[in-house]
Parts: sequence; C-alpha cells; structure tokens
Amino acid sequence: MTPDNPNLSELRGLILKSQQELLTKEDIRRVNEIARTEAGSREAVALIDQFCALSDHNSLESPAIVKEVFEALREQPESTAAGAATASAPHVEVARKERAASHRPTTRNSGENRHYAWLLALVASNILVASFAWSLAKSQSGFDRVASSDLLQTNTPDRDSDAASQSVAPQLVSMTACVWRSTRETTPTIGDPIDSGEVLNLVEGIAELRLGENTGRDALVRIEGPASVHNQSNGELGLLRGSMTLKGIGANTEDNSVSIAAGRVTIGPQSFVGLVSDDTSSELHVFRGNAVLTPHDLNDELHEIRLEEGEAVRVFQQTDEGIQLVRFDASVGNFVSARSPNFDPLNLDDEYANTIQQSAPKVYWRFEQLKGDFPFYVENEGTAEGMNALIIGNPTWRQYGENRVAEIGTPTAAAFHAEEQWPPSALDEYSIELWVKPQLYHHGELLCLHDPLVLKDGRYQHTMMLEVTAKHYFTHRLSESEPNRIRFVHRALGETQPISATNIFSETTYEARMWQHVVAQKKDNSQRLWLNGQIVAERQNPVPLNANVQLLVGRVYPDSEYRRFVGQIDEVAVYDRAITKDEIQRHIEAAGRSVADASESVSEDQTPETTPAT
Amino acid sequence: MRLLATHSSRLMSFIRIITMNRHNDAEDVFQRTCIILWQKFSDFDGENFFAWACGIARYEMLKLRDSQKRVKVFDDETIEYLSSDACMVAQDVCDRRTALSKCLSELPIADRELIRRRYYDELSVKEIAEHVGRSTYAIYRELSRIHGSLSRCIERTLAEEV
Repeated sequence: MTPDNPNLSELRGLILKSQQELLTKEDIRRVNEIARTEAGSREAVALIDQFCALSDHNSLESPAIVKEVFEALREQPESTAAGAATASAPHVEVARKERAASHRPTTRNSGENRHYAWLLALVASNILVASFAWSLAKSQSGFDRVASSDLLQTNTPDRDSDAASQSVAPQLVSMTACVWRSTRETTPTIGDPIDSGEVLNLVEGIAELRLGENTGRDALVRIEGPASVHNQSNGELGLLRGSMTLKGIGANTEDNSVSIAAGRVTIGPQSFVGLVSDDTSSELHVFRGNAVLTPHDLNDELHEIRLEEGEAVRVFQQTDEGIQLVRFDASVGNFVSARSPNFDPLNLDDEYANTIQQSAPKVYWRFEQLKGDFPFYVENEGTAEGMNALIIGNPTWRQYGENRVAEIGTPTAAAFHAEEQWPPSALDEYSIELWVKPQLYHHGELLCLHDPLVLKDGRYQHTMMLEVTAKHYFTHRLSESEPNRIRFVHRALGETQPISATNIFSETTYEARMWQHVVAQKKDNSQRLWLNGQIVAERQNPVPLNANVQLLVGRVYPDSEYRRFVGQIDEVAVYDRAITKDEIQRHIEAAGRSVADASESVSEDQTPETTPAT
Repeated sequence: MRLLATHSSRLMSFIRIITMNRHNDAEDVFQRTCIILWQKFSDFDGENFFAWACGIARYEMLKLRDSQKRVKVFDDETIEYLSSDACMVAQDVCDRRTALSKCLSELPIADRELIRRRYYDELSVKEIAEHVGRSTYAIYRELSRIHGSLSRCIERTLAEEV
C-alpha cells in the first residue's frame, strides 16, 4: 500500500472537521493551500465524493444492484464484526446485543444480512444521483439518535429492573400512511416487535403500538408523525419528540408509564392521555382517568404532578427561572389520533348543491354516486363537456347523513382524474373549490392540473397544485416552510423558475380530521388561497392558467402513488372565473358552517410574497 | 433536453462535490444550472456537453456562494482546481459507488465500524469520541486514515476494471 502523504492526511482531516465545525482562518488557509496542488485537489474531490455516497445510505433502493452486492457480501461472518464492535463501543453494542437476542419474525432479514444492509443501500445510491427529486433524510436534532435517549433515562432502578423483567416488546399493530426514517435496516412493518433500544422515527402518518399484551398493562400507543419514540432498555417507551396518545385497554390492573423530556408519566388503569415532548417543553393531557408526571429532577420545590380527567400541564424545561409549569384544560383536539375519522360530519344537502350551481361551475364532482359500468366514473354536474371523473385505484365512500364523500389514500391510494382536458383556452382567472378532511398531517396532493404529456423520467409538469404539507425531512425544497400548511402553486407549464418560487402557503395550519373549505384562485395579477372563507395567502402572479391540462385529484402524478392525499374529499368545483368573497362565504354557509374569523385572513398589506412569477 | 437527461445524474454528482455535499446548495445550483443550460443551449459548441454543463454549474455555484454569508472552506480559486477533478470523478460516479462498496467490505472490521457509526448511525465525531472514550482529534485522524485508504482502494479498483 502507498504510504499516506502527510499533507493529504492533513487535508482530509481538515475537510472532515469542516463538516462538523467551523475551521479557523489558519485551517482554511491550509485547506486551500493543499487543495490547490494536483494531488490535493484529487484527494479533496475523492473524499467529498465519499461523503456524498455515504450520506445516501438510507435513500432510494435499486433491487437489482442491491441483490447482486448482497450476495457478494453475505459470505462475510457477522460474529467477527460484532466482536470488534464490542471492543470499541459499549453503549451502542448493548442495544445491538439485545436486538440480536430478541425474537424476530421470519420475514425479516437474518442477522448477518442485516449487518450489511446499509452497505447494500450504499450501492443503490448510484440510482439516487439520477433523481431530480433529491430525498433528504437528515437528523433534525440529536434527539433522533439512540445515544441521545440517555436524556430520557430516569433514575428509578428498582422500577426499571422490575419493568424490564416483565416487559413484552411493544408491537406495531397498525399504520396509517406512515413514512419512516428508520434507524434500523428495514422499514417497520405491522406485527414487528420493537426491540429494546430501538428508536422509531415517524416522519408522517399515525402508527399504533400495542404495549404489554396480557401483562395487566395492556395499552395502545398512537404515535403522530413527525415523532420519535425509543423503546428503552427498562421496557418502557420514551417519547423523544412529537406527539402521541396512550390508552390503557382491556382488563388493565396496573399502571403504564412512558418517559417524556420532562419526566416520567404514569397513567392509571383504563386511563387515556395525550403527550407532547420536544426540546423545550412537554405536555400531558388527561382525557380519561388520571395520570402522574414525575419530573426527572425531583426536589423540595418540584413534586409529582397529579392530573385528573380534563386537566393538562405544560412543563417548560429550560427557562431562566428553571422549570416552569402551566396548567390548562386537556384538549383532545390537539391530538390527531384521538379523533375518529368520523369526527366532524359534513352534512350537505341539495340546497348546498343548488348554491354551488348558482355560481356556474365548469366542473362539479359531488361523489354522491358512481355511474357507468367499467370504468366507473363520477358524473360532472358542471357545464364543461367530457369532464366526468374517472377513478384510479379503489376509493372508499363515507356517508354523513344524506351526503356521501370520497375517502382516498387509505388503506390504498386512490385518485380521480378528468376524462378530458380543460380549459379549452388559457385563463386569466379561475377558482378551484373543495371540502377536504385530511386524516393526518402529511404531504399530499389535493388537486392538481398537469400537462397530459409525460416527461421521459415519468413525471408530469404542473401548472397548478393544491396540497397539504407536513414537516419536511425529505423534500428539502419545502423544508423551510412552516409545517402543516396548505400549499398552492400556480405557474406556466415549462416555467424556468423552480416550483418553489411560484407557491404560496397558508398563514395558518390546516386541521387534521376536520373538514375545511379551500379555494385556490387566480384573479387578475393575484394568486390567492382561501381557507374557510378567508384569504390565508396571496401573491402577485400575472401568469395565466395553461389551456388543455389534466385535472387530477388525490395524487401528484396520475400513474404513481407519490404524494398521495390521505383523507376525505368532497364537492370539488372548478370555475373559469374568480368567484367572489360573497360567493365563497355563501357556499360555506350553505354547508351549515361558519366562515372563519377575519383575523385569520391575510390582508392586502400582509401579502406574503410579491415577487412576480415570471 | 435529451442531453441533459443523459447527463443529469453525473451533473448532480459534480455539483454535490463542489458544494461539499450541502444538499440545499446542490439542489439550488442544479436547478439554476438546468435553466441556464436550457436557455443557452444555442451557445453549446457540440463538443462535450458534460464539460460545458460542469462549467456552467461551477459558475452558478460561485454565484450562489457570493449571495451567502457562510464561511467558505474553499476559496474561488481552489474551486477552479477542484472542478476539473470533480468533473472527472462525476463521469464515473456509478463505477465509483460500486467500487466504494467493495472497498468498504474489505476494510478491517474496526474501521468499518467507525464508518458505520459516523455515516449510518449519523453520530457526530464528538458523540463517537464520547462513546469510545477517545478524543475528537483521534477520531478525526482515524476517519482521515480510513477515507484515505478507501480513496486508494477505489482508484485501484477502477484501474483494475479498465
């Protein structure tokens, strides 16, 4: 082997350091000095290319390549690797040993295969670089790592050893539109036990875990993405970040406990609580029964906090005054998973439909019944020809009194697309109106208008997109926007500006499992987004709507489940003009609902973006 | 468009290198570069599309840097040096990934563990140092050695395959 050149070694060390911390002026001078040599430049480039490859390890997969290399690597014995790990990292190894000892379903990879899975994924990353949409899966804070779970370890050895001896591994029992950022080698699947020491990072969706089955501590945990939970070595779950609910079920005779950043929460039998935990504060809401929060730092001034049904407490961990408590009323509404999908019925009748018809929509999909044989379609009750909605996938239907709505995205993706293209000529103004009830916070396409021609890479260009967003770990382009907003994109097909330059986001968040009235509208030079009868985002945008585009509801591409909407949708109406504020508010009132408070509206002088989109 | 589609993965690899794998910067530069390539395609001399695209990407990257207040590790002149090598490395990105996998599997176990902790477990150098009871300096030194060894191995592997 060629001996390492000290200059190159120094260069690599400094570049590595620059990835973690700021370099000094002298460091920067040295980096540049060495990198300007022929060998230095080559070395720097090779090193950074390795960073690129290694940071892609958990990205897209290419089954063919993975399989090929998998076969090559599986020959290597795991035992030696495990031995080396023991010598150098006792903390991490504890978790790994416990994982190896626990039972796993036969569908999972064998231990030796798992050990090399990340290497295989690395190979697959050469596919990733071909992708225009660069998926990101980066940590948002140290909380995402196993090591940081030390923060939640409580000093209760007697209870811990007792719990550990009786613990039954939590089991994943249901998932709704879950997107995981896994610290394990496989994506969690239903039926999986969660191994001791394991951290689950749920980016989107709702995951349900069963705890302590048949131990007298039976409980259901619903984790609401984005959230991270840790199955601690003492057998208890720790909520590292995010929200979840915990419900004692069955013949519970014993208490259940969960750790949050502020301390340990113990709930009584049959109790039902909501928990929130982040870097600065924690919340405990008691919906049923009772619960006790035992802070980590018990002292003379800080005692156990006991809550009864209907009570809640927020604990601020780090303030100048130390730990602070705020007591308030428990709110089920703060926890998506505590609401039934049937919550908030949308009762619409013919009077509502008549009110909409008075505004003369070109497209009006009510979803009341299907017509035709095969393919089935939803009839267009608007005036445009050929705009019936064809069904993609298998939507389900939910009845609220006389009104039927479409439920899409769960359990399988479904969508609707128009038979024909629309509008026949470019439009300077238009309105898209619909009722939506997202089942959870996620990034899903409510409705879009796309070019009928598919690009070579399988995507379609869009002239208009209306979607719900979530906290973004994967789509960096949206990572700087506030989470859980409604996003409205309006642009010319083939526009040279990136899509991110042509979108607006609602000032307020949307509500999961609640019906909302949404209007996306273009009028004159203005692009506007209305939520429940008030403007929640507006910008200057003189670009007209392209002619002859395809109307699609429920996903962003017609032949891919990518960015599917999960929830219910109803009364989609499309107009070739900007309907007025009076009309919008009249439509809401015809549905028996109230227009939102005007304080939620974005006034003209608060327009969030004013850059023209051309 | 066809040329761009053909070279897009390599172009992205090139951009990731010159942006030091900063995801946001890389995607912004990629977007801007694609726009310029499209707008100025009539200027392309027909010789080497990828080299032409790399030149535009480098220029767009320098422009982006100028608009940022971040401390620059590499100055503009160094970027010129790096760009030439990055363009060559990006040409072979698929082969390099395969070679890297092979080289990783050949690493001594302790070295592979360290790489795994840093990039798979995404532990910071400081966290690794705390876990193994060593200084951050020692971990940087170890990582530097391993990356150097991987670079040599990749070059060797690519040379063998030619």
